Amino acid sequence: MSESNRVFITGFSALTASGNTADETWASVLDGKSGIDEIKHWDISSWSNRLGGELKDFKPAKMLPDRKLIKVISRQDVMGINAAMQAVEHSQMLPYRDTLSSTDSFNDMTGVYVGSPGNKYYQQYDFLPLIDKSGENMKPFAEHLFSEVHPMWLLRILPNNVLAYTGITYGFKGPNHNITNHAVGGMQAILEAYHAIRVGLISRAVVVAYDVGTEPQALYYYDKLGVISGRHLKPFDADHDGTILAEGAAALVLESEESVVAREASTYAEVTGGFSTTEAAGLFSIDEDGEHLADSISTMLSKHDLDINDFGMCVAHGNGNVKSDLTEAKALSNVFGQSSVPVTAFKWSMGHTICSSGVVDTVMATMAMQEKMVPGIANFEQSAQGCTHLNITKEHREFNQSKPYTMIVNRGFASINASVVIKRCA
Amino acid sequence: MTKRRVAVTGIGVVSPLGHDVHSTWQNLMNGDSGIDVIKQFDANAFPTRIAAEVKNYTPPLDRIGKHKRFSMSFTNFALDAAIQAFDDAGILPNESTSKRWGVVTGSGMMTSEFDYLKRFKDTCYVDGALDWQALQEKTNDFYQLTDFGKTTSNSGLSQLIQQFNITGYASSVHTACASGGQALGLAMQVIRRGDADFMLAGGFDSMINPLGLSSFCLLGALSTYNDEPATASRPFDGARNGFVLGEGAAFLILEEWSKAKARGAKIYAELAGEGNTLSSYRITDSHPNGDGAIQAMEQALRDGGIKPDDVDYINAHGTSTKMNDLSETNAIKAVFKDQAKQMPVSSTKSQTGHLIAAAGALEAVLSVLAIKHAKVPKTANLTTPDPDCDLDYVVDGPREKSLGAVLSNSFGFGGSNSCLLFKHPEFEGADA
Repeated sequence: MSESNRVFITGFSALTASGNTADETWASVLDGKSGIDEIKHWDISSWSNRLGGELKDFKPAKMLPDRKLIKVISRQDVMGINAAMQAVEHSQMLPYRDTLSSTDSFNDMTGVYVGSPGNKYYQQYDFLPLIDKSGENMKPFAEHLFSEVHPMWLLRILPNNVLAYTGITYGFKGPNHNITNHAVGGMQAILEAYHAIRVGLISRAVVVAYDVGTEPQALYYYDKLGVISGRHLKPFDADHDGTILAEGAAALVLESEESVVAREASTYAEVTGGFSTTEAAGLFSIDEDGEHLADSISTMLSKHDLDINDFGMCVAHGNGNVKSDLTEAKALSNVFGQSSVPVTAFKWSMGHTICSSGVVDTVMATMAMQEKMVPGIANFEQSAQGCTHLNITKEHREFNQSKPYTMIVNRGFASINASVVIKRCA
Repeated sequence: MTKRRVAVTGIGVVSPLGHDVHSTWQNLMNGDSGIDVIKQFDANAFPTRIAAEVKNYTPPLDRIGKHKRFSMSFTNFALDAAIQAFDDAGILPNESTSKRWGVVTGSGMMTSEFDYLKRFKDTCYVDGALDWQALQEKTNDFYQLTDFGKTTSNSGLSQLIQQFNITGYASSVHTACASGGQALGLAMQVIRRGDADFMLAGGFDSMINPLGLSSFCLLGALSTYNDEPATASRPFDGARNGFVLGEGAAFLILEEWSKAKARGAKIYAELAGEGNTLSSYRITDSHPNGDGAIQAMEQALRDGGIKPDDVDYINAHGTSTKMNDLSETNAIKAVFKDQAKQMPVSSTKSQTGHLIAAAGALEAVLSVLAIKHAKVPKTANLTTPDPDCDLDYVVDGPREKSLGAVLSNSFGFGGSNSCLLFKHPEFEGADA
């Protein structure tokens, strides 16, 4: 199938522990500030590993198109819907739509692609009082159901609420996907929107991803897996000892060249490729030599006719987990060869937002290229053994404009990897 | 623009009508119902006490690999149906092809099993509040890695990946009842764009558990014909009063057409087009005039390069809810205009129940079988005409009919709509 349309980023947003907007998050990255702190939304003060990246100043009523929505959605949905709203606003597509004599074609050609965390443990706690009252006996369980559980409970927990309400809010009716694939959900949403625009299925798409990685029950299990740090998130650093989970959301507006030209839209970067594969290593395991990841990235470069020597930046997954960092470093080293691509990562600032992490990183990468900058990793001190070959600095560096491409790498459970390439718009 | 064509070369099913393709199809053709009183737990005090359960089922544990420890019941359905599909296609990923194999699942909501939630409650729910310190203190009694594995959103996907050593594209989608259809559509797009040559695609789900049943009872979405389970699912009938929960899995092997031909594969049908739209109307209701569903069917026809009068049968979403069936009827009228009333339209949910995230995948398999056997399944239990639902719902079926092109509709809570277009492998122009 021929893919010919060029795809541009014309709007973006981010809500993270480091800032309630993309600008605020970017400012934190530049200032070396981290939003990681002790988790406060839930009382886990007695836990040894209790750090997380929580949104500051979380006020759902002010974040939604209709405050009544709060009753029928969940905490993470608020973030996702708000991220989508911010990105749509940033893209300025609606004032253009308002000028059209009919909006039908515009809406039909606007897709919504979402990286969703699926269900969260805390959404089922509404049933705990009922179970407490009825035990294992289904008769009282059923009898008290209607008095103990909110009638809209199922709607509150729908994993596709953000997709649905983004569509309902703006009337977008195009192709859509709601990808529930752990940490690569957001990145795969970018990929699918990109391909849909490339082949002309749609003219533009809102891509949004969101997650609440800080809920205690999930944190408990991640901790048991041994992937959580109780101190810091220091990617590729000699002192790295685990990741820190976070909540947040981010969104992009992707648009075809034809659509960009038609409405004279500002473009912030061009999406020029991407690819995703699995290592088949297991739900919680990864390929220890990084060969699968290297092969996935190399295939992506080859498929899109990209030369590694044209890359001015690589935004690594860099989640601070020792095994993940080391295998990623090996893979990047294999791909880069003699080319010393500047490497950075952003999770040190806002934590690992899991499903939304790939979109957060793509938004930050877009802003970095706009500012002609490769941001440093503020808490980076000394390379971990096995990561010394990566071109990482604590300080910010100038983005080499003669090498206009940036690669963003994303990894998730089920040993699934995804990468996206964006190109700086002059 | 030349699209890489996509062949269906293998199918597998675990359904309320049977544990494999053959028995499911035979029981469907015999007019049997998969719906009965719920046996998995005591549902007697619920407003709805019936469902379409997979009955007397034993998973093929001898063929499921070591990672079954993370399996919920419906993950076993998925692994079983996928094994059947691979067996049927006569092909497996190997060292030289695994990177060209991908997998896309339409998966359920991955809510916790009741027993697990109760164990969690017993561990740390104290005096009406959660005590997180208690979770840490009682960790030796509570912690099991398998609990985390079972409740992780892409757990089922992971098991399919490992079971068959697939190392290409892998993804999992959830758009409620549209999930299975959208999973197949996405898999088709992955082959078309060249990211894979072979895909395992389908759906698996079960919400027949205390929480799942509760959630739909709270919404009042389920049929309450508890005393007449076999006739409770009545799509397009004037007395329909809700859908019937089902469970199961269905998977298809999709192959790039020329590769399937080159290896002499049996080709059931061509997955020739997809419509994928949003209604953007309401969370639970489809638009009464069919908006959203209309565009989905039109897109599928356009994508597959055919005209409305090329379509020989529509496997409807047909849930047996008031609004869906009216909306879908109106959508079909809008797309097929004067031909709408001559178009055979049936809902196999009348016999299988509604498999939620797996529904689109099961109905894709049934659509493919309808093409293969040249038989249009009927809509069972349509005895009371609804003046607003006045199409040919094949109440006299199964009906013998040569089928060149078939549409399969799936519409989900949240407004996602999927329409898949299957063509007979010898559909006129198919080899052009």
